[in-house]
Amino acid sequence: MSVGGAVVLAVPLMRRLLPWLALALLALSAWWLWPSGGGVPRSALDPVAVAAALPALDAADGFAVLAPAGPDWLPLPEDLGPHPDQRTELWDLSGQLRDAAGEPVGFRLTLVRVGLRAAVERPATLAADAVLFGRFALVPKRAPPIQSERASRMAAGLAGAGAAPPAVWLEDWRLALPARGTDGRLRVAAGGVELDLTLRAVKDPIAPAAALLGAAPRAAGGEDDGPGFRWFAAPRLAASGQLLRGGQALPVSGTAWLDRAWGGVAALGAGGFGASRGQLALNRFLLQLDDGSELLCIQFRRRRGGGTPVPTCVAGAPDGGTRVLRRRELTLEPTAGAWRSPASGAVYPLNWRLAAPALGLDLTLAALTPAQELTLGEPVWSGAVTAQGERDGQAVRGGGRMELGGYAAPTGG
Amino acid sequence: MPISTSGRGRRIVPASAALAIGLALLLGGCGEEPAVIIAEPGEIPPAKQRVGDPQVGRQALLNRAVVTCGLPYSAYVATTGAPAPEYDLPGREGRNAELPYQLTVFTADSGVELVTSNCLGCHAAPLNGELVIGLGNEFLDFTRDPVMAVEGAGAFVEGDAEAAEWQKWADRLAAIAPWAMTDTVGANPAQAITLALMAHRDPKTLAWSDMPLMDLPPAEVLPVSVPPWWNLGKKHAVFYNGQGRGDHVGTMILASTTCTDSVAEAREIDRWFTDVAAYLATLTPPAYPWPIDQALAADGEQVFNRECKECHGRYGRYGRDTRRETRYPNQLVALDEVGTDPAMAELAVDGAEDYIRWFERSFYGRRGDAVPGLGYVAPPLEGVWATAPYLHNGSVPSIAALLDSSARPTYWRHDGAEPDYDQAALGWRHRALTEGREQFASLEAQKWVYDTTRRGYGNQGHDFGDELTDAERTALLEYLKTL
Repeated sequence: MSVGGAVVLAVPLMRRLLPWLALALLALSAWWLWPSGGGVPRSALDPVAVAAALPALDAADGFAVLAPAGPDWLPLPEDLGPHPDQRTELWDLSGQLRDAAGEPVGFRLTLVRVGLRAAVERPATLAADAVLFGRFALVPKRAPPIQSERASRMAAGLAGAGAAPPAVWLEDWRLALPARGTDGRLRVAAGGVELDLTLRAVKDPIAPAAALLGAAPRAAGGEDDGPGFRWFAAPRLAASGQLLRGGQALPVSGTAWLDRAWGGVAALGAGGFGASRGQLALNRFLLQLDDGSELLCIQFRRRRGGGTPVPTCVAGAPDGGTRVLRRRELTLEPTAGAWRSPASGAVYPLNWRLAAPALGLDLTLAALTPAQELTLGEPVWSGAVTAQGERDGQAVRGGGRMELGGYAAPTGG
Repeated sequence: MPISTSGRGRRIVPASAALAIGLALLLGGCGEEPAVIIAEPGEIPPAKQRVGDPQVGRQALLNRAVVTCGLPYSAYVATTGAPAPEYDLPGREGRNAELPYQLTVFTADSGVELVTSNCLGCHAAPLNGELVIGLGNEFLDFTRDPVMAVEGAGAFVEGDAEAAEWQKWADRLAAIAPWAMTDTVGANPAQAITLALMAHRDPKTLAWSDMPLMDLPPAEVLPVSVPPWWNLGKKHAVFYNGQGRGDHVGTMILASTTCTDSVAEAREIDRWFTDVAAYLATLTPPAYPWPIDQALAADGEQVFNRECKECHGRYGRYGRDTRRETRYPNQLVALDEVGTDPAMAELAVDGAEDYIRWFERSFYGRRGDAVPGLGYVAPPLEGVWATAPYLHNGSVPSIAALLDSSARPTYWRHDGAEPDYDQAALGWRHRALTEGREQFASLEAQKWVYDTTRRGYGNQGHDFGDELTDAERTALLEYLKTL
């Protein structure tokens, strides 16, 4: 009958939105740890290191500038190791384990390297060219979570990162990264508990941002692939080892997911999405299921309520292939059961339903334990979840982690 | 013979008498349900159009907003980077001169500057590197989810007033989003969008209701090919199915109902759009830019006048400067005679009484009448060479295929994302495919496949060219280049 109306405006909007959405998919996972836009991690981090790190952040610095990654970008094996020519980078390992009794235990180690000046001429191990920020969380189902943060200059052996073999360490937290055919190892101690895991790569790396961009509209007349950063994930690592507590060793095994990303501060920190941006708030879901599949989802919604929440998922198949699922192919919504944080007063929906009819999948997600809020900056709930449901009528279960942003009452008007 | 039923029933009348009866019923039946009139095939009677100033109309078309909600300009800049216009469009003023041709700036009552969609998004298209106002854009991609783009743009909206404007716009688009999407590039959802908008408005006050006030249109969105504007001056009805009679302005600005929330606002748009309609009536088609074999075209003209003129009219030798010889009969051809895909015409008649009554009751129907028919109007053919793909649903990729039904591909796709003209077949270069969209794994590949086996997408009918010899067909193609 008549004109298509305002819908046409969607075309130019999508050009820039999708690259930013790809960034949000990553940045939300550790936004509270990025030294972004003046929002310094406010915790028991080494104040000397933080003070040393920050003044230079906005200055012209000699760090390499990455062009935006196109949809065809793929990581190289050496990308597991450090990129000292880049201002910031991230190693983010999270997983779910089960003990001999089948009880779930979630864990996560997040390490962010922030360069102070480009390490071009001097070996990084001899001078404080960078600061490494770290956070570790261990979440048993029936005990309070253990959470610990630290930071150190990457010098004098206190903290560092190596390329051959690829590894990163922050004092006694050590992550040796699993490469093709070579096992990795995680050793972390915090709160009287020690976690020691062997990590074996079960699947080849994937590039979630590239998958999202590859499925994006490619309109004529130039594209904007967004800010310069690189991100890949090792979507499935087999993890096995032990949990030491009070001299007692508890065998554990499960799966883990590793995010690796690097780029400029503007891209990964201040310019990216936090838990909310503009009128939107973001949630992020990372799930590994025991049928060999994974789901990485982001959902944005209006911060003040109303409107239509928009989910997008990158689904990993057991054979390693990825597929992008969009709003109309997904149901992602909170179900009954909200939890009020005593610390921030925020009310978080901790139970969700995720259904993707195209995958035959219908899952219920639930927090492993409620008390996993982070209040380092704007409060977010960031923690381990369990998933159960069915795929094509067969029972399936798994776990992962969930980040919920924008549920705290806005402050300061 | 006309079939007439009383009360709320449907009346089927000869098209020429429909208007008179409709008016009589409206005058005589104050307070009663408006009559639902379905046109019988035949000539559509002329109706006097209001007088407007074409020059003022062009200025308004290029600079005034017909859709009065949109994205705050500040968020537009943050989201898109405010790309420079790709095409030169003389007459765009102020901020509009900096925007792509599809967008028009509008300052809301709140004082917030908004970027809104305008008519040219669908009704202008590039041709040989230049933007042609009035050429329907047959490469638009309505497979994208507008909700994702519009809600996502909220990430770049700052400020309370801006947020309120963005929310209004996003809410409206979300309400009509299921009817604003097709799954094939080039398939325009305009018919479904308009019906969905009607369902959300009170016909008397035009007030928006988040809850639909009548049944929403079917979930299955039918494809529409965007007709060229330069034929409007000849057409007695605006739409393919003979719908939109009387004064055309009300029917045209139905598109603005996305955000037109009061009769006062509609009246204001109606006022300046009368000038726009006058401008549209002056548009002429682009001339065929490549060589024409004049002798062959002259042969083709004879074929045309023998086979085509009864429905499509007579254009005189090389059309343009022979106005006296031109005659366009405004024929609504019955579905069983033209034989083309019936779904669009049926959608506007079967079960459409509520929509017809809505229109007749509303401000938009004040000077016009819906009067859909179970058939399609044989369009004027000036500039037909530029308006591929053909038929109301864009199912036939070239005139050569339109004139030889055995040459019509069951599955086809544009050959590339940019229009590339095929001078032999008269249409955008395309590829016939042996299978439908299922052969492709990704939606991005699937959306390019035009599948004529789907409901509403059929390429049957209008087989009048099948009887022609190859020589006649070749000559006819050459003649059509001259129109």
